[in-house]
Formats: sequence, structure tokens, C-alpha cells
Amino acid sequence: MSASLLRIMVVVDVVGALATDTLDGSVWLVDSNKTGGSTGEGTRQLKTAVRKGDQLVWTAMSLECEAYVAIEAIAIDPAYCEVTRGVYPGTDISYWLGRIKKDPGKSMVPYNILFKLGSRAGAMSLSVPDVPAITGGRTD
Amino acid sequence: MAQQLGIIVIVDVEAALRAGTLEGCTYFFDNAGPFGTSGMGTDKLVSAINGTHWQDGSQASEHVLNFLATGVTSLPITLPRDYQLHRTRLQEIATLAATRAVAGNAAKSNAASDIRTTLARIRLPQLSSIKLPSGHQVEHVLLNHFGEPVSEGATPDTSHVAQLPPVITGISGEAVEKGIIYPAQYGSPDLVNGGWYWSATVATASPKVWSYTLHILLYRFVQDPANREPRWEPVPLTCEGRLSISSKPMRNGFTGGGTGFLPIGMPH
Repeated sequence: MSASLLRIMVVVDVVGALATDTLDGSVWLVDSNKTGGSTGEGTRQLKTAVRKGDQLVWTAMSLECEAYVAIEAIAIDPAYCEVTRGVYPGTDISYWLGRIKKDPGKSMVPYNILFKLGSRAGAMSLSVPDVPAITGGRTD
Repeated sequence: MAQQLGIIVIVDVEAALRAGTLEGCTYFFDNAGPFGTSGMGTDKLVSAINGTHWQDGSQASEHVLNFLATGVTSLPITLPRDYQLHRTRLQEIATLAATRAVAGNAAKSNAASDIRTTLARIRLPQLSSIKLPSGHQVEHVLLNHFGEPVSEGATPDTSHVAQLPPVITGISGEAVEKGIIYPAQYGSPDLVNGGWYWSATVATASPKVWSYTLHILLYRFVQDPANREPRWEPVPLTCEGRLSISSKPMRNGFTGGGTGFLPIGMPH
């Protein structure tokens, strides 16, 4: 089976998160690999099924088009996934690229996402243990 | 002032095209979570519309719904809608600059070699044709998921091509037929969706759960070995959303209270 490029869209209720000063209840993840074995679509505990060599591309989207959100960092075990920040050429809109270096098999490899929201000075991250993960066993 | 509610539909286009239905392949969101919306992140969204009056009993103004659809594998909606044209233009400028540089060195002894090398490096973007429901064809430059044009002549792995975003083409169903929502397509200075978006005004005087139907056009990417240019075939599908109109008082999202002035912070 060849390596695939999988997209992960992170939806954020920026106004809700800023109003409550927490990301709890304000973040949902969706990936393009539902038919390949990912689970937890549309929740914060998305589990993306991957294989060694796959590429993951994370982008963030705000519920309100006027509100600003960007992914500041993705914290994941580098033994499994190496992440780098990229920018769409000619813009300041970023994405995060992950390269799967090791198949997680049946293990769950959790990761956290740090966000820049609006004009808030500090980044906000997801509160553990309700975080997304990658796992092995991609079938598609 | 009318309360504005944004309803976002994220479509797993590939899964929907495989299944031939949007059921189980859409993820709905709105920004009325604090008001009681349920089903966020599922295809069973029930948007909370707190209806007819403010907390002080005064008549509330109408609600307005704004709809936006995008695909999991589409480029981010925050990019300019003409981004593919912008990327193509940058590539053309680079090609012209390289050609001009070679022309400036035409008197050199190895000019022919330089010209051959430069010409060999020229990369044109791969065009595709979008077949509109009207039957007309529109040219479209293929971009990958990093916003880079796909090179001409390549047979790209479908998973490496950014999907054309889904397009809402209409809103119908119970809530429209019963006069609960009045949908229309509006022009917008924002080029998301080509400068058009769907909006609806809600008659909030009828508390009940009302359903509506979104008509969504997906595009299937088709690579035909006999036809060098890939094409996008339109696939119209529908999905359903719901509005829960209640007689609870409308609340100001900033103050939690009724209509009136917003709180003014103390000067720093």
C-alpha cells in the first residue's frame, strides 16, 4: 500500500474559547481518512489511522470568519511523527506538515495543538487527556 | 440588530462521492453552542434559535443564518478564492524572468546550452476543466495541498490534488415551504465562494424544530488516460439541517442580557 497524504481540519470556536479562557468545548477535528479507519471524526479525540510514510497536513478554521486562529505548534512524539510549519506561498496562512516515521501499530500516539487566537498574547493548548491521536492500521 | 448565526458544513468529499450520499459524510457546526445548539461536529446539527423576545419582554429582531460549505481536502477558505490564478501568475513571472536572463546572455559562447537548460526547466501548471451544471466548461489550475501548482503532464495521485470546494446551490425543505426561513444568495466583497454566499432570514415566531435541505454541488476529479486534461464532473447532492426555534428570550452574546448598549470598559 502506498503512502497517502491525509488532511486534518481543526475547527475552533475562537469567540467561545476567548470568552471562557479554555478550549474545552470549542475544538473539533475532522480528517480525510474516515474510510481508511480513522475514528472520532467531528470530535476533539480524533484518532487518525496512518501508515509509515504518510503525510499529515493540519489546517485551522474559525467558526466565525472574522476571528483569527492559527496553529502555533503541534506537540507529538517525534519518533512517530516529525512536524514542520509551512506557509501557503504568497500569503501568511500556515499549515503544519507531519511525516509519519514509524507505524504506531495498535498504539495510540496522542498529540496536543497550541493555538494563537485573536489578539490574545499567549497561545492556548488542549487540556489533557482529551486530545487527538494517531494510530496505525490505515486500510485505505 | 439582527442576531447573526454562522452555519458551516464541512464535507468529506471523497467519502461522499464513494457513498453517493452526504449522509455520514458531513460535519455541521454553528456558533450558537452557548445558546443550546446540539449535534456539533455531526450531520445531525440542531441550531438553537432563541426567538421572539428579549429578556425585558420587548419584541426581538429577526435571526439571520449565514451558510458556508467547505471540503476536508479543499484548500483553506482563508486563502483568496482566486489563489490558483495568483499562483499561476507567480509561476509565469518566474518563467519570463528566466527567459529574459537567457536572452541577455545570447552572445555567450555557450548560449545555446543555456537556452536549452532554461527551456527544459520551464514548468507549466496542469490545467483541468470544471464542468458546470449548465454544461459550460471553466479552466482550473490544479494545486496540491501546499498551494503549489501541479506540473503539466504529470498524472497526479488524486490524494495529492486539493479538492474543489463544495458549493451550496440552494436551500429548500420544510422550513422554506412553511415560511420559517427566507433563503437567498447574496453577493459579498469577500471572494470566498466566488463572492457569493447563502443567507436566510428566520421568522422566529413559530417555536418548533424545523428542518431545511441544503443542495450541495460536489466535483469528482476524473483523469482520463485518453484525454490529457483532467476534468471535474459535477455531482449534486443534498443534506439536511434543523433549527430549534424556541420562545426563550434572545440573549446578547456579549452581555448575556437583552438588547441595548454594550458594556464599556474602564479606560486604561
